[in-house]
Amino acid sequence: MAVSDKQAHDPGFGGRIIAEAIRLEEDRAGKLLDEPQALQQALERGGDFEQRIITRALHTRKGSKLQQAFESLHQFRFWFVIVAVLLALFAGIGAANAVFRDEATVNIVLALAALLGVQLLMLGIWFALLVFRPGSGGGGTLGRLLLDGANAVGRRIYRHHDAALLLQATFALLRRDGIGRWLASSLSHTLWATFCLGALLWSLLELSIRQYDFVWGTTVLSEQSFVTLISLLGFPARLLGMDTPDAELILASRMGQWIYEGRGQWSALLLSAIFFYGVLPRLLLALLTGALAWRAIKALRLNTGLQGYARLSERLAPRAQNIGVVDPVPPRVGREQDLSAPREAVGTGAVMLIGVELERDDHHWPPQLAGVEWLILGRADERSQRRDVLAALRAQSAPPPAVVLVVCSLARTPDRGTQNFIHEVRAATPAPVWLILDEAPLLVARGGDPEARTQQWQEMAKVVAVDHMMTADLADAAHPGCEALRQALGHLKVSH
Amino acid sequence: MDASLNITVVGHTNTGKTSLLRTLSRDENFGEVCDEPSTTRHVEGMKLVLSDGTPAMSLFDTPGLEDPGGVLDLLEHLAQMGRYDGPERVQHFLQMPEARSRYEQEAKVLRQVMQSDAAIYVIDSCEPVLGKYKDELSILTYCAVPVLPVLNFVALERTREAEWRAQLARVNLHAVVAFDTVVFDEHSEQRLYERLRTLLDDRHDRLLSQLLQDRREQAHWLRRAAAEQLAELLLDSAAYQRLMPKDTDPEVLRLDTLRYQDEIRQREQQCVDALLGLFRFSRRHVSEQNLPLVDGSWEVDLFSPDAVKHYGLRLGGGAAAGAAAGATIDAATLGATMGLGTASGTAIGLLLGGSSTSLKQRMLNRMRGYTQWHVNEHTLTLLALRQLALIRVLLKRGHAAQSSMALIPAEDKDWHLPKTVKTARLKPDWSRINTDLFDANRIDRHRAVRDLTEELLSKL
Ligand SMILES: Nc1nc2c(ncn2[C@@H]2O[C@H](COP(=O)(O)OP(=O)(O)OP(=O)(O)O)[C@@H](O)[C@H]2O)c(=O)[nH]1
Ligand SMILES: [Mg+2]
Repeated sequence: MAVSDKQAHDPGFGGRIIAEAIRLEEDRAGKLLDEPQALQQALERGGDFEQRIITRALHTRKGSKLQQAFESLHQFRFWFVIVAVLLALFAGIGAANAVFRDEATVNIVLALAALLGVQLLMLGIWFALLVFRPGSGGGGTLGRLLLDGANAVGRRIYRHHDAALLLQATFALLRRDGIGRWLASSLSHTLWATFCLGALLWSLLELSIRQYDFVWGTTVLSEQSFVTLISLLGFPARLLGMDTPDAELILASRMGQWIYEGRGQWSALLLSAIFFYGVLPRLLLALLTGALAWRAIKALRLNTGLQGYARLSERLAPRAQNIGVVDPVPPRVGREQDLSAPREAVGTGAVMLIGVELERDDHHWPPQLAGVEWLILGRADERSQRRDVLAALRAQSAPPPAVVLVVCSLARTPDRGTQNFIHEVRAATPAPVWLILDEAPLLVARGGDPEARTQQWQEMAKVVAVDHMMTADLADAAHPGCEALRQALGHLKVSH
Repeated sequence: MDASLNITVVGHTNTGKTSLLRTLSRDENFGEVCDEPSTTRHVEGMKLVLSDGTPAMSLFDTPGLEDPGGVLDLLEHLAQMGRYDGPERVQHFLQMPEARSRYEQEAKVLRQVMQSDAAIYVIDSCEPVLGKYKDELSILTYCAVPVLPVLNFVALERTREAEWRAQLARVNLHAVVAFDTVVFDEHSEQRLYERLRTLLDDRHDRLLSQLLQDRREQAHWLRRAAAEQLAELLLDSAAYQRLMPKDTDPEVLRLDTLRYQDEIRQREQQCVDALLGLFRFSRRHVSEQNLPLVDGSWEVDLFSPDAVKHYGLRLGGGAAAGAAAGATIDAATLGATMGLGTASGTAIGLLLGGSSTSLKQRMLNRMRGYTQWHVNEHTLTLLALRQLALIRVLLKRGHAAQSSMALIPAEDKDWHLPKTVKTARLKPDWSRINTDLFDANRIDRHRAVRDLTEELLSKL
């Protein structure tokens, strides 16, 4: 399967919500849903660990029920938002209608305050929260209320457990990486944009078909401040070349002057202010925060370290697959047991000693045993040494040796190489061959178990029909094995 | 073009070939491991896969080379007979009747090596550089595949690592990795793959780089996930509270204490199980790995009066007195626990700030005339420390010479509970053991888990 294939398959936000819901459910129950077929599906589909978690979640029984609930909840949310948007539109229309309701004169400042004031105030709060308290989730109060509202109503409508679980899961994910903040902000901005749009359209309608006079007044404020305010509000329109009231007209429109002029300019001011300070910024912000939310959702990954997910890793993310046995054990392996009879010491020659793979250095070679004379045949580690030792042994025909001692290290694992060598030693001499296991402390030092190891040597000794085996630490004269060896060798002499 | 990568693991018998495969594949059930000769007698493969399931390379476990001297004799004999080059000689040997009888096991190994892109030669680095090992290296040279020597058992004392490195250099094997399969270390695993990459030709570069990257990410994830398990355990335990009416019968009280302790024990066991699962150990194998666990549980009971003494913890002031008396649970009226004279409604409201009003109400109702129980601070400390120690052991796998006594390192013994854990003691709805109060979606709990995870990670 191509890697790109797998990457193309992104489970999306919905899949992650279901996985999160299953995790919450399992967390509550304190154990995993026992559904092997879901695990199987996840293993077959592949993908990274997160994708496997999601596939598994979707294929549990609970998961498929949740998917249905998710669908209906999703639809419900969609319509809820549509209704909210419509309501905002009507609210905007209502606000505009209130401004133009009765008289033929419109207080321009009151009108602007009614149609833009609250909106601008909320925008300021949103911005301030975003800058100063980003952790608190920023602003987007309206959107948040809406989301909460949708959830609360959704929970009432879809009374069953599944919906509640999904909402909880959604909530848990929305909180991550500011997704919720951007989403709520985007909704807020959309609603305010529609509110302003409603106001704009209604104002346009009213101003098109009826005649109004615009006035303003103040008791304590200076006239200049009004001039500044109005010019400021008209600024974007002026940039676009629209005709808005100039200072003269503004002063002339003061209440009590009774000069009703510049209706066109005033209308342009009102409408452009609603557009440039209401609809446009809100629309842009809605798009911007929407894009941010979308990006955060795209970048969202489940936190697979959470205990609910992590415990799936063993089953869902194997690090290896067994290929199986590619070259099986043949029916019969290893050397046939040597059934030749045990040998009695008959030769009158020397006691001969061979060292095999011992760790003692040249200062400690050959080993000494008080009261015992042995003839050193040499060390048999390398192939050439083995050949030499065997040749020397074959040369000892008259008189044949009393016994051949093969000293091995207990620190070595007995292997077929040594086994074959001992076999050849025994074939090269009529004398009995004894196996002496030396260097037990070395094995102990590396944490080995001398008893088990002795047992393994014992088995090997049996196969090659070693005549006698004993453990003796030749470096330690006080070791009981040394005494036993001395006695056993003394015995041989006596019997002659 | 066949991009698949086959590596054969060879070595003398009982040097840890099968153990190496187990460690690299994180599968403790692979093959058979035993401190005995000829445990493995067949060739068995394991395919290492990346996180997304893409196969990265196949590793093959082989029987031990037990009589390399005999095989080498034969190969040299062949050399005298004709002008064969190395691989031809080996192929010739594989056709000989000896390859089916006396050297059947060695033939298996060589056949597998000849089909591979490289061989990993496993060395028991406590062993002297004996003639038979040199013979094995010579045989491998005949096969003409790249060889990566791996020094196993390096965590033991008295290894002969230097001797081995010198010898390997003499036969032109300069890329060597020390990799103890029992005392595992993620960095040496990565070094192993890196060395392998330098040995192999370019067409395997991409796969090996991906494998390296993947294992690095997994190691990172594992560490984090382990810390997160522990953070959850600590918050659950610290926040767990139980209320008993003040005039409860002593016997009922005693039984209830036991139940309370049991819940914490179970929660701890859950965490241990989760950790073992994360590191892919089954309870069954735990004792083989020399973990401080018996059948997958702690040897010393958390609430046993001498548990603190057992681990040699030093506890300051009141906690020490409590520990000496064997007290493992704090029983207190609400006010006392929180350092307030009286538990007025507003005080509770303030302390539970952020909780929903209905929760506050429920809490208030539950508090009046009740005694509230918490896990003692020193018990929590112990809980944290021994779990941390377990994670450390798991990160390094089981160390052969590790006893549970020596488990908590000395510098940890003055450790103080992180602030988040202390805060948790005032937040009953943070504990999943408080099933009726637990709220998985509390933002402050999420933050607490995150902070605590970070703090614990810094201790790993
Ligand atoms: N302390 C320690 N023990 C190890 C290490 N590697 C392997 N062992 C032990 O050595 C013994 C042999 O390991 P195996 O993996 O069976 O060795 P093998 O090479 O597969 O052996 P055969 O299949 O018999 O040839 C087992 O008891 C392992 O637990 C290591 O790095 N450190
Ligand atoms: Mg093996």
